Amino acid sequence: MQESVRKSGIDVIGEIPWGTHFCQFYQNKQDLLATIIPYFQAGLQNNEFCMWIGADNLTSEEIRQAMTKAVKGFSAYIKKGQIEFVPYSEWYLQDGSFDGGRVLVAWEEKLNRALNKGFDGLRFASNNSWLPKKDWHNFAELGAALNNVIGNYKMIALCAYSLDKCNAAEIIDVIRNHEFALINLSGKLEIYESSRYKNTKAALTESKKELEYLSSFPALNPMQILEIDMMGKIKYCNDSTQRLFPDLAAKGIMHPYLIGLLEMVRGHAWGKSNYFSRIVEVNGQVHEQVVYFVGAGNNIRIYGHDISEYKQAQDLLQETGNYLNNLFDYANAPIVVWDTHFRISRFNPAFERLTGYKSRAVLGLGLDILFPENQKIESLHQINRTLSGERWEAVEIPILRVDGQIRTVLWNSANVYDNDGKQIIATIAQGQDITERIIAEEKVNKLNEILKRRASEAEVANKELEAFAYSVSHDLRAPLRAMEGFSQALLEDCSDSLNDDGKDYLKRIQSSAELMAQLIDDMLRLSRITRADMTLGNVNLSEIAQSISTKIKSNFPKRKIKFIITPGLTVKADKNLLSIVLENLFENAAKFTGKMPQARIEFGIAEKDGQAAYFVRDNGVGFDMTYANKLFKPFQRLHTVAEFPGTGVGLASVQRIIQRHGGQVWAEGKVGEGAAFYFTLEENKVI
Amino acid sequence: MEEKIILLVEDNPDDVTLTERALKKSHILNTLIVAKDGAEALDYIFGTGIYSGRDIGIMPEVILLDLKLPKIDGLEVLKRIRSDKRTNILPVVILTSSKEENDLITGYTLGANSYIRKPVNFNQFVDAIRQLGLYWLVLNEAPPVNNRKFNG
Repeated sequence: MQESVRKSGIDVIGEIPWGTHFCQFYQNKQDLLATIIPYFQAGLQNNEFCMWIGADNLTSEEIRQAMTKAVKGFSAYIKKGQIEFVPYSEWYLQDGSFDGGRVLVAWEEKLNRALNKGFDGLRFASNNSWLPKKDWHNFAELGAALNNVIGNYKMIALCAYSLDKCNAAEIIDVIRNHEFALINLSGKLEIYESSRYKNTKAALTESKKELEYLSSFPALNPMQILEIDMMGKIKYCNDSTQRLFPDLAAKGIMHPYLIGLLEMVRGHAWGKSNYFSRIVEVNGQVHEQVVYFVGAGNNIRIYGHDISEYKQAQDLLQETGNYLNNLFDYANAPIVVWDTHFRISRFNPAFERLTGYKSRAVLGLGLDILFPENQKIESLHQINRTLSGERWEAVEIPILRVDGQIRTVLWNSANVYDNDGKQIIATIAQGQDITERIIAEEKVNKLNEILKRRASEAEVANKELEAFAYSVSHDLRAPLRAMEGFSQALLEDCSDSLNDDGKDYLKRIQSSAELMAQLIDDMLRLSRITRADMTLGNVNLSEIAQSISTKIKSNFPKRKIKFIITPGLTVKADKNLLSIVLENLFENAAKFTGKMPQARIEFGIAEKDGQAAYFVRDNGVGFDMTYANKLFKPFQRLHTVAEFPGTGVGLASVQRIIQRHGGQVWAEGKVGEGAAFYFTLEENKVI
Repeated sequence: MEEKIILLVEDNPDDVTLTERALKKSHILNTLIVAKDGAEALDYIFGTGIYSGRDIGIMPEVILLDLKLPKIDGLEVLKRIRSDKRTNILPVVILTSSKEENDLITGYTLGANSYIRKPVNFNQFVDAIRQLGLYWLVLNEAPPVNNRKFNG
């Protein structure tokens, strides 16, 4: 902004506003120069266009020389064309006669030219000592006219009069038509102001202050304030508008902020409201504005309130609110909020499910309705503690459902504070219904106890079994030895007194004793298989089968037995136990093919019901499938000992071992057509 | 030549009779000392209890030791024999009904020289006793006598 107050350059005057029109009465050239030189110097230094209208008693040339001497860099101002020297005759008397109206127009043109050249305004001084008496009256009128209008222009005027040439009446006339007068008296400058101008000036200064004060309101207003005419030309815009839209003045009506604005104003002017909201994009930035408008003559005043940031904050708030609401509504955990009077202020659908209450029905009610009668005091006591800032971490508070059921619930709580963070305004609690869990835990505990009891029972039973087995292996055999041994002694020592029947009976006692010894041994073997520790490893069944077949061949050197063993069958199992399985199956096969002229025993793998099953197959006597389920029961036999010896423990042992490996064993056969024993192994399952 | 004594540790009188018979049938006519339980066996060996005053310079050529015995069981008797300097190299043959794996392992671990399971079949038992006698009383060279003597 250009300064509206200018330096006069004359000490006694100091600063003067644009539009100051004053006069000087001088006695000689020195008086005049003493005023004019600093007057122009101040104008030149402050970017004002200066003009001197000279008269004969101080020519343009004289003043130019004086100024060259006094003002530093004066020639540069000349070169720049910032100062002009015009003789009075050229300025005032164009056609040899004086025309005040024309001179006024010329001044205005001069000012405009100066402004266009970039100067702040026009400062001129006019030496009026040339004025002939006949034109005095007209000139005085020009002075008055200039005095009336100069206040509107960026113009400062100094009119110089020679004191010698004026009479008293003329002096008074001049003073009246100027704001003030400078008079050189005995080398000293004095100011004379007419009281009319003095008052006017004071009033003007006052109103100017008032104006400055008032205009600071729109200027400092953070809203956008501007006035435009109906063509969209900007008449006024405040600082805030300029800050927000720096290119508004340059683009004018084509500025995006103004495009469409006038139409909306016109549109709304027909309605009742004088405001509307509007979203406009300016330089890539979206502005949401509430626009108020008022008419001002033919112009429109716009008051724009940019609410973009507020709106963004509000949107964010809304978004956060929605987010929290969703969290609250769709949370699986029951959540309840209560105020400082323990009244329910909110609860979520999960809480509705927990309690059976509808949220709407209990809002505002006391929390105590949620607790079983016998727990009420304790629960309310717990809740009371949250007011002192305590937070719950897994506090157990039972809940009484609307249907009378009681649920066990663990609660976490947090207090909600006011904006200052000092005052609790609500408490929010989140629950976890552990009723089912507790029931399940109780079940598990009970089961565990049963299991423990069973395990210790089993342990005791196992120990008993071991003791029993030990006792059996020792004590049951001794009587058998006695029976057998003394029968033998009888046969040897008393054979003379025994007839054949007697001898036969003794032999039967002996074989019975031996059979029983065999049964005891087999029984113990079976129990050992059940008790033995299992060590799983890679077991090559084919190799085991091969070595068993070799042993069988050497046991029955006279028999013709053909072994067909599929090589490379490897499983994960206990090697010792699987050896017992194969031994039993192979020995069985060898036994039941004993009557075949050409026995065939096969070991291999086959698919049975979608899983791999190992098999031992023979072409022996076979069996009736009706009794297939008896095969694996201990001491069950399908043949007499006379036909095929044995105690019926072998297959029972096989079944135990296969079961301990998580597999299955079964037999297929037909009388006279051989038998096949299949087994599977679930390698990772250990029983 | 000193007589070769056999110490039979056996609580079952039937088994004692059968053993005696089997020895006789195998023509083993050495003196047979019978101890009816573990305590009696130890008394004989160390000259204590009812055997106090026995010349323990005379030790059995072989001890036939049953395992399941009243008072002190066979394995404990074996342990005591092996832990005493005077008897630690005395031949001990376990002669028992059991062929429990544990008994076998413990027996050998404690230093049994042999482990024989008594067969139910008497002929087989006679055969076993015959071989046993042949081995320990005839073929086997017993440890030097002075080692077997109590020298304190």
